[in-house]
Amino acid sequence: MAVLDSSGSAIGLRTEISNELAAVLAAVADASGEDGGRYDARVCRSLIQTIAARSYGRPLLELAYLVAAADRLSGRHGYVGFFWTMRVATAGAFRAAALSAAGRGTAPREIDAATDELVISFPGQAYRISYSRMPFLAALLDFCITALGFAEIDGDISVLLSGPRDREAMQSFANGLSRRLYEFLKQHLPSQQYERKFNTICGFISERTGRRAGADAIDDRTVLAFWEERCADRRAGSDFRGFRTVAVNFFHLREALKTAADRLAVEAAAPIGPARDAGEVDPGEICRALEVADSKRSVLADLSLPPANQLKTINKSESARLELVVEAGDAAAILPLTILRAECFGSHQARIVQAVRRGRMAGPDGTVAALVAQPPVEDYGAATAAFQVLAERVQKIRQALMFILFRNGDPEAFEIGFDIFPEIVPALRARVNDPEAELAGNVVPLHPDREISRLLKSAVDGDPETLVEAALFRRARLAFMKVNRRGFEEERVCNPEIREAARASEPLLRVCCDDLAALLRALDRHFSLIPADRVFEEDCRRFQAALAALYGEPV
Amino acid sequence: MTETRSPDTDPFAEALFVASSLSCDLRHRLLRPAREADPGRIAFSEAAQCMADPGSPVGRQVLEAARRRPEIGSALAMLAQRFALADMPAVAAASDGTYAIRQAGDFLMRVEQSLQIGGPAYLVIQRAVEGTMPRLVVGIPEAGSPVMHVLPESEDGTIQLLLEAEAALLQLLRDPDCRFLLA
Repeated sequence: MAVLDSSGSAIGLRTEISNELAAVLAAVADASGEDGGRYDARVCRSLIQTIAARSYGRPLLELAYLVAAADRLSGRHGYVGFFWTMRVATAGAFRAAALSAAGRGTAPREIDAATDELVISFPGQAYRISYSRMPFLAALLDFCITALGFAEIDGDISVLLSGPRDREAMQSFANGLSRRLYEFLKQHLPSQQYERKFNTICGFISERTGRRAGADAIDDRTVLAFWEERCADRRAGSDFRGFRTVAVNFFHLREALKTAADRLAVEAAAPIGPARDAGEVDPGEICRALEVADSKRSVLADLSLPPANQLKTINKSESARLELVVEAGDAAAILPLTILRAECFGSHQARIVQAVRRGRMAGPDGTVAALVAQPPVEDYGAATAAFQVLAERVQKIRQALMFILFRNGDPEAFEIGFDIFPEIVPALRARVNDPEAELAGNVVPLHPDREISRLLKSAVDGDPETLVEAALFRRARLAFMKVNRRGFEEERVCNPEIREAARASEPLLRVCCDDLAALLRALDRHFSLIPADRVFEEDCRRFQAALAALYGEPV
Repeated sequence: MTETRSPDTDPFAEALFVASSLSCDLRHRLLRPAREADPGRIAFSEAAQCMADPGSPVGRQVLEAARRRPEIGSALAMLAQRFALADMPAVAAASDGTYAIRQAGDFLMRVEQSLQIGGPAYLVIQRAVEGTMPRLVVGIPEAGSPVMHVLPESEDGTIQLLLEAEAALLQLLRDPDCRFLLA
């Protein structure tokens, strides 16, 4: 089993994901479709979340019903034909396949292909599966077969299909597959390391605060104190050596504790709450909570996937700088120094680790100890300035996206404008009700679509000196002209895929902007009390002591 | 320092922390160059695509992977049974070393030597009645890896494929213990 190091990602997590699992997931996520991937980014993310939360119980039951229905619907290729002869797994493709099969004279009576879902009336209660759920279920089955083998899974499916097809049979199939998956993941995605980490960090917080670990007990001082203690403690092993890794652990812990507390509060407020056995956790509930947290954390990955990747909105170095901020999410406002420390001292530590691994002498006088004694290349002032520059650049890219959307007559352009330049909102509202507007004087426009179309047209064709929408368009155009990246070519602006990429990229970049803004505000507050260079100086002393404890002697 | 779970630790928080951490690891692992860990790995869905359209870019990529990795070849051969238009079992084989015929249902498959001694041979596949023609021939030996070959499209019910004398498929066609699928 491979232990990954920090080389693959700036996040620098140390995990025990096996190469086998990584390869299977990569194969499914990269499976070819028509001019792109077979499964879209959201489906792949759901698959990862389902695996990470081990919440495949209910999906496997859905899969049992769908496989049994697909076998009846599909022609001679059986369920394999239904799931995989279409090139791209989309809700529309599954709907078309189901409606086409149901329209044949030989269509089974117990399966009804409705407009939005399949209604499966095997013995027992009718079971419904929406077409929008099917791409995920297809990816899950693809993952199961790719990981566990066709012969094994097909054997189980043959047993399912030859039996009575009642609820009991479906549940039995789902349980069997669930056991197989559990065994596979136990070997390839061990969770003990993180269980250990959770208990170690919570224990530290409890000792420090004298009460149960909660999200509000996690601040910049706690993170640094924890890491320092682990560095000083020779029993620490490899769990908490990297500061960057520790920072990410705390981001995730804070999120988990906060979500758990919110959930308890809701339950306590409910007059009749669901009865829960002590210590029992519903994996489905974990997966839903994970979905919420991950939707923001996945923005960089989503920007690198279709349809957003037609536009190079974020380059490699920007992505590296954003990675930790995005991973922190809401915590960017709470743990700003932790992010800064991880950026500056995390890179510094990575260089020390490289030097230790190579066994080469490093630093001016040729020793690892000398490298430990040096300050990081980037100080807090420089790092903060770099975040500021990045925030401005991302806003410029968003303005360039606004230009693309304006040129395509897409009302989403105004949404970007309102967000970046909120001061234009009153003026634009006045334009909707100006004397030239249709049915001016109405409190609410009778034809809002027509009004928007009119504004979109005058934005592109109007006089920027007199019309607010045209002034907005001019700013967008100027921003666009300054972007020299793939996809931002004027002759391609009206290509459907570029418009689609702009629409997909905008909400993702907005998340990046919001996180960066929260971080910069928090840093500004902090450094207005204690100057950045003084904080940096003090941190240099503390990190030097901790790093010396870790690497001062031969490792 | 506490290493074990304190009695008031919330199991929901622990499960969510573990899931978040694993999800983060998986996401970042997938950001690495695709299939870095195992470049030859293919998803099952691509194997199924290959069966549906072996001549497509995905189909050819999968067949190439099957040539390098026996386990992919075996999985494909198994999958081919589901897509097979004709299954020519080993027991029906007749072979005199230079001329071989196999027959199943409407399909007839035969090998014809070219005039050149020791030279290439023609694999001819015919369908007696009008219908879908196969796009893939799969030879499954009693021992060893299956061999697959994409077939050219046909509109008149006959497919002719030129095979080098040393082609693996030709060797299998002369093996009476080898089973063939047309998919």
